[in-house]
Amino acid sequence: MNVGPQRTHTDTPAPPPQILSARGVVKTYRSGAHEVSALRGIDLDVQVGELVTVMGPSGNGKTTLLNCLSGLDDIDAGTVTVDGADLFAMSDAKRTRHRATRMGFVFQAFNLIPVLSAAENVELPLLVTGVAPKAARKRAHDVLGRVGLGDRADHRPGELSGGERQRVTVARALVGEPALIWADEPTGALDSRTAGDIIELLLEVHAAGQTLVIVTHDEGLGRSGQRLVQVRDGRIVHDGDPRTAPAASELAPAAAASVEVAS
Amino acid sequence: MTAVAVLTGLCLLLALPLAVTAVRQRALAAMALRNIGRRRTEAALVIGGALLGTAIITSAFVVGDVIDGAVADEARTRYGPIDLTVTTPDRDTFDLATATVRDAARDGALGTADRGGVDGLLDVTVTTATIEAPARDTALPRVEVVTLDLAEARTFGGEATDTGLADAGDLAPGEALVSATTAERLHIDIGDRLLVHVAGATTELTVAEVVAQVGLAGYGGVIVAPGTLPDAAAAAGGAAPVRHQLLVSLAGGVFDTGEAAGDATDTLRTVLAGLPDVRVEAPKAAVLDVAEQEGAGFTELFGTIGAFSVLAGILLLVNLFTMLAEERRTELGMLRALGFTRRRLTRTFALEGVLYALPAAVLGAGLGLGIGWLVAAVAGPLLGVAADGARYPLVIEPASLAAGAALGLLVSLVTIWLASIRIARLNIVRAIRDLPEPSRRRAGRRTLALSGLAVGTGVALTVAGAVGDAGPALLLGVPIAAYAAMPWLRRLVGERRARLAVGVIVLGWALGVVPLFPEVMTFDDPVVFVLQGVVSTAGAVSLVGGLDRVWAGLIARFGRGNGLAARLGVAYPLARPTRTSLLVGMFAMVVFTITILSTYSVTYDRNSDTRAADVAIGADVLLDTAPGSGVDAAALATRDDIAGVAEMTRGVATFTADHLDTARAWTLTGYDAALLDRGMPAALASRDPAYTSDAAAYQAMLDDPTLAVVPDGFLAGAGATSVMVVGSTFTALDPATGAPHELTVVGVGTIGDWLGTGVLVGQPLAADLTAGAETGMRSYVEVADGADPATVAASLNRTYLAAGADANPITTLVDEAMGQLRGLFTMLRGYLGLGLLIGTAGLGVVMVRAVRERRQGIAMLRAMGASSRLVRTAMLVEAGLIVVQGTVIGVLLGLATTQQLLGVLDPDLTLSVPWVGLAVIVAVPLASSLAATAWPAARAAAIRPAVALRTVE
Repeated sequence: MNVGPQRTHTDTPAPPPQILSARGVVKTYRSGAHEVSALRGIDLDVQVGELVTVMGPSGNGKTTLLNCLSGLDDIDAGTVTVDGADLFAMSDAKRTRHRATRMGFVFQAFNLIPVLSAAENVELPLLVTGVAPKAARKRAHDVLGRVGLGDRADHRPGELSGGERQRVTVARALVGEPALIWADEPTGALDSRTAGDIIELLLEVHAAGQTLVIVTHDEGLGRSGQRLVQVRDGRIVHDGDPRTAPAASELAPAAAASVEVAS
Repeated sequence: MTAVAVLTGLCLLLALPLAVTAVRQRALAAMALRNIGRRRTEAALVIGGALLGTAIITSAFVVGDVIDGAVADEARTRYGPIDLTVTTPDRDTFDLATATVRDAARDGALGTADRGGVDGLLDVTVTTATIEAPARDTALPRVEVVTLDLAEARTFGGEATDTGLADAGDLAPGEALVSATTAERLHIDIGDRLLVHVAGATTELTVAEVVAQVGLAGYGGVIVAPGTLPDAAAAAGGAAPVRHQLLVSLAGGVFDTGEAAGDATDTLRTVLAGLPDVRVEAPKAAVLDVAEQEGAGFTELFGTIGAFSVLAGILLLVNLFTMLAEERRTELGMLRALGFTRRRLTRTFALEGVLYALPAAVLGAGLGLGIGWLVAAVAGPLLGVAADGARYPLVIEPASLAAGAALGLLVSLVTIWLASIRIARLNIVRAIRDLPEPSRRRAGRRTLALSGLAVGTGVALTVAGAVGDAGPALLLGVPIAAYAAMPWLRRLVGERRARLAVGVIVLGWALGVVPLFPEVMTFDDPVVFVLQGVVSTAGAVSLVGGLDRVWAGLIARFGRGNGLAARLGVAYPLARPTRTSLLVGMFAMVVFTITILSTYSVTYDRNSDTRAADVAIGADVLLDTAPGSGVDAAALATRDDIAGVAEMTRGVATFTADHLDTARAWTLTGYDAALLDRGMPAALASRDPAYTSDAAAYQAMLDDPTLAVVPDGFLAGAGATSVMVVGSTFTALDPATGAPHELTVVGVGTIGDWLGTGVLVGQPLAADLTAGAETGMRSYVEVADGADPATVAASLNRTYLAAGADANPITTLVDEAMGQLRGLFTMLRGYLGLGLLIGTAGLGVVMVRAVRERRQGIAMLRAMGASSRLVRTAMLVEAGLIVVQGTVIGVLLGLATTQQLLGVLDPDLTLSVPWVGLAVIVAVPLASSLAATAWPAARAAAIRPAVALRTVE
């Protein structure tokens, strides 16, 4: 099954260009006098075609890392460059546009629009960028076919199983041929068998040349990539070969990630 | 009061279990309170919506109370202590009658001091005169001049202040007391010179005092000392047409003697039966009865019109609670998982609803009081429902407030209970996991059997309605059968086609039943009008709901750019047909009624020339003259500016009908063959089918003194049974003997008795029924070629001033009468504006909740790169789609229904479409709803994807 965007591979020995570059990213959540440092100076580079998995204990900043590096959330310090553009040097509108054309997303909760059919959900990113409805619909059907849902295109999310819904979200992430796909716990809401199917699908997507950054708790998925980034207390504690990464049990969070601000 | 008790009982029945739950399960009560507390704005909007519903219900009652109070105020301003009048033109007969009444009072025949005993008798003389104020260049025809002894008058009745003359000084010869209203009309003040024209004689008087319009001071426009007018008449060499009257006051307050007056009248009529030309009347009781009937009529009118707003409020409540439940689905599912029974879950949810409903009922009743009073105080004087000088008091009738609050609360409680019961039927697993409900399952045998039974019931109802002339049953039967057949239709043709089929059937029936069954669907019962509005709206909304593909196709074809905002905007309404139907129906019903009122108003306006021509029978000026004035057709015809004259006899007669407690006075006009040769005195909306034409019916009335044509609204009270229709019978009382004369209605006039013709009968009968000094002449004057009707009317008024002439161009009279109707329509439209407020506020609340409900979906859109503008536009498109559907349905149905109403009530009128008005009707709800949606739309656009999508990490 060929599921990825149709990209041309070159055989040049030069290292693939960077798709993502983050430097000194800091993110702090504030609630009244209470502050939580979610990211404490993140540096991360991702090359085109890489499959990067991000793991770490709950509450240590994995999703925040995804949100900040994708431009979904603001940062307090640092820079993030995606596909050559500094996300936080742009206006919100430009960043939104950049996200629309260069990134795709897969979330744990699927986040499909319940009143739209699978095909309508998948074509949304194309319509957002101004693609004509007919062309968008054709492309949506094509991608749904690639993820094995060609015959379920007219069904609404409520009529699909959990695995099928997640396939629709993968199709939705792929349909705009983004430079980078972010996946946040894509198997978190699925049973192990369905999760296995989705992991297989994502690996196929990557094998087709797609750059993927996956935040996950799933050890199988986390260690199946080329590169594993482990996060603890808002810092990257491992970035490299999954085989050399510490076990999850060794990454227990520090006692206090939050800091009371002195009055 | 019984109704209030029943309503309160029902409210208690529904609220008591919740109160028990709240006391026994404090945690549930706290949960409900906190849910409200954390969404205060939305809670305020929900309460606001329910509050307006209650306010509309209450205000309908209050309008009736205030109108009742204002009309009844005539008892104080015009009669005070006067309960009965014994009248005769002959002095000797009067003396005999007075002696008889005194004997009867002394013997206790007129009641005891406890009940109806006589506490005052006053001998007066009443003369109808024209009053002229030369210095002010003003004149007033047909003013009652009362001659009485002021010293006796001050002590008449139990309470001196009720007479209005307690503080009035004595009158010297040639002086007069003038009531405030008369003084205002003539622009006169103390010391002004007045000329009193009576039967060709003129007496000069000086205004000694202007007295408040109360009691005896209001009974006559002018009060003079004994002997003044007979002397004047004698000086002129003629006999003044005076009426000798014995005024009788019964023990009790001004407003408390109505019942006793009825008994006393009967007694006096019996004891005075042997005397010729003596009339016994109970004018104050009649006023109080009219007040009650008028009040009930207004309550019914505003209740009928307001019903559409109340229904909109009900739909809003259903929608809000359904949305609230969907929003809390996970929470409620969790409670079920924790061991809550369905019953307890129902109560938990209903508890929160009650916390909205209770303050809404109390505040709504208070607001309704203000609205009702405002409406009555504006509408009353506009329509002239009460006598001149009457006040429109802020009547705080506890029963009405309680009824309004209880009815509003009951509507809310029933809605809340039904919504809660439905909600409690949730599937625990699906609710906890927030999975959508499965598609509708194929109907089982039991459902199909029940459906079949309901279809049979609907059909039976239709047949029973058609056979038994029952409009509501006939109207509802087919829709019941159609909706009940849904499970069968779904099986046969699928969901969408089934919905379309039912929509077509119901709408077709609602629009077709009137022409198909004109004898049954007469709109005499206002309930039929309300039901037709509801049924046609339901049909249209079902039909439009089934046309989702059409909307989708239109957007695909005409959507701007790639139409994403529009597609997203219509996606939710189309995917949730029930919720959308409730919202669309809410707007449609209110707009439906506003359209009818606007169209009716414009139709009457544009047909005013036709209307004037219809009633003018070729004349241009209408001239009313005082009794015995000597102005007749022959005298008028000699004038150069007059081409022709036709005459009618016009006076006031007393009528009773089965639905009335006391007799009511109404104008009665008699016509003759000569007038009929010129045309018919009133257009008929309905006629006895025994006559082939209106002319034939009028001709028959000349030969048959038991037949009459009555104006629309004649002797009307509240309810369908108190409306006069063709074939109804009523009784006219002989003015002298009180003997009944039964009359049968052969025709009912069209809406608006423009010229105040009243009941029409043959001239000889009119003369009998209005015998006495009050009978005047009405002349239809055709002006000569080139003469201006207004100039001729002014000339007639000047020439026949002493004869009490009141001449007006017919077009002016019709315009004035139509102005009143127009005023009423405007008032009702304003009243219905409350319904639009409900709709607008409701849509705003629904959209606020929609943003909350779709938070993650919107965040996903934003994550995918959708601009905040696109999100905002989609929300506005969604609101716009709902409002446009609702208003378009309302406007189209309103036009169709107006056409039908006109066909039934006023077939001669041609429908005029108020294009500008309709544009406003569509634009105002659309603009206000978009404005109400702007805030939630902005909130949706401002959703930060990272925050909304954040999941537990």
